[in-house]
Amino acid sequence: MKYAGMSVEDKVSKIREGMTEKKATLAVFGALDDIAYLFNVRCMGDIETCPVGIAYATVSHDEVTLYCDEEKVKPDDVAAHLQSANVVVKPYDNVVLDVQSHLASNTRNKVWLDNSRSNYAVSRVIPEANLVDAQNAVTPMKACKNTAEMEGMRQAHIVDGAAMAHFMAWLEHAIVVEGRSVSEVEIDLVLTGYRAQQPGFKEVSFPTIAGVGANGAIVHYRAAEGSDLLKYLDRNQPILIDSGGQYEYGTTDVTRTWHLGEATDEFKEMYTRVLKGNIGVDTMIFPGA
Amino acid sequence: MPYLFSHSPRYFFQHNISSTYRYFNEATLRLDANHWELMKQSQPKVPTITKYLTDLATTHYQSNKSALRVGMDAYVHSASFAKELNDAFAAAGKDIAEDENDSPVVAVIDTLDGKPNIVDSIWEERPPLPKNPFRVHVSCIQNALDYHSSSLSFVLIPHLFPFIDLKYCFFSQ
Repeated sequence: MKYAGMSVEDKVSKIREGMTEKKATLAVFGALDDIAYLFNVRCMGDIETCPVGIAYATVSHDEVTLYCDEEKVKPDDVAAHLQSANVVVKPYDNVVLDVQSHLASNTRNKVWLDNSRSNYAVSRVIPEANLVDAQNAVTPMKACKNTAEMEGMRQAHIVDGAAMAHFMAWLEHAIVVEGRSVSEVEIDLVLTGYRAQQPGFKEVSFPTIAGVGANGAIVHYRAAEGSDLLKYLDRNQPILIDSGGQYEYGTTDVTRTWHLGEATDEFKEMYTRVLKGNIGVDTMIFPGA
Repeated sequence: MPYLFSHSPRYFFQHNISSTYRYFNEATLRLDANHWELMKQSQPKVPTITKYLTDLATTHYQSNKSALRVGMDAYVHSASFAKELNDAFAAAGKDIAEDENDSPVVAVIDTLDGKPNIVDSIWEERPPLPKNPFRVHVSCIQNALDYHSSSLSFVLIPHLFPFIDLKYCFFSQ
């Protein structure tokens, strides 16, 4: 239970068990979420709003290697954390050559690579006879959340809920009490500001979608100052807000639709149908569960 | 979102772009229809990239008796997509083979090693690869447990969770 509910060593052991079953001598990971999960590390800034860092990883029966820029492992606690799990750090660009030399060292060596979670640059150096193309060992581990991970999700939603409550009070006050209109951009700024006050907040988990009226129907809408699409919320229109935060202990993604004045009958009808659908899905029992 | 650039002997740079449904509107707004044909994937009668390339390869082979060279930056395409293409090219070769033991190679993937990909070469002011530091993912819960463990060493972990005060998560890091 040292980190995120499961240590790097335990995760590596599970991967090696899988390798033995599959008769693989090297497991290669190219998906950034797999790598963050495997090494119990997170990052900010490499990929917008995603807590993962740019890297590759390989696991053999006697070595665990993280391929990334040396700047990424410079913090003392990160270096110590990786060292304690016997992780070797090598330059990012070395991974393909290392896979090739692993294969060259013994013609019976086999590389386990999930083709759907790898680029072609890695897979093309592996002859078909030496490739085990199957779901990697990290995917099922990630799918089943342990107690610490589930508790982290709950805590993230508690603090995120607090931020949302602050925001809703602000929005209602601005529209109903002050009687002013609020731009979609201002809504994003204020909401993100409330999230930023929460402990453990790192960044938003995706660019906030705040769509007034018809903008609520645009998939992945992103309001911008100066855009022709930018709208202002008042008591006459609904707003859809889909937003979330990255916290040290979990990620949130919350979507709500509000109307702070008198909604039309058509709007009420549609809102009710969507709500019924949501409740239907929520109360459904997962097949086989 | 895969983009597909192609040119045939007849039309120099006949552009095609394929994208998933959520980008159709955006793509329609941004693409110059005089140069680009939007291939709405999963819409009726719109071929997938694989089908499009395979048909192109077959036609190309039949008129030129040589393989179509498909340029691909190996670092930005998935291994499964490359495999799907190679399998489709092999199947297309079998379909038109005169001798079943000697199928022609209708297309080959050329990873253009040592050459920049064509998008990179026109990407001005491209930022360098990010090098942000990793941080150790110590869960907030663990910090709370560490805090409690000095005084509550007999409490079983699952029983502790309901009593964790959030403030420990916030201040113990």
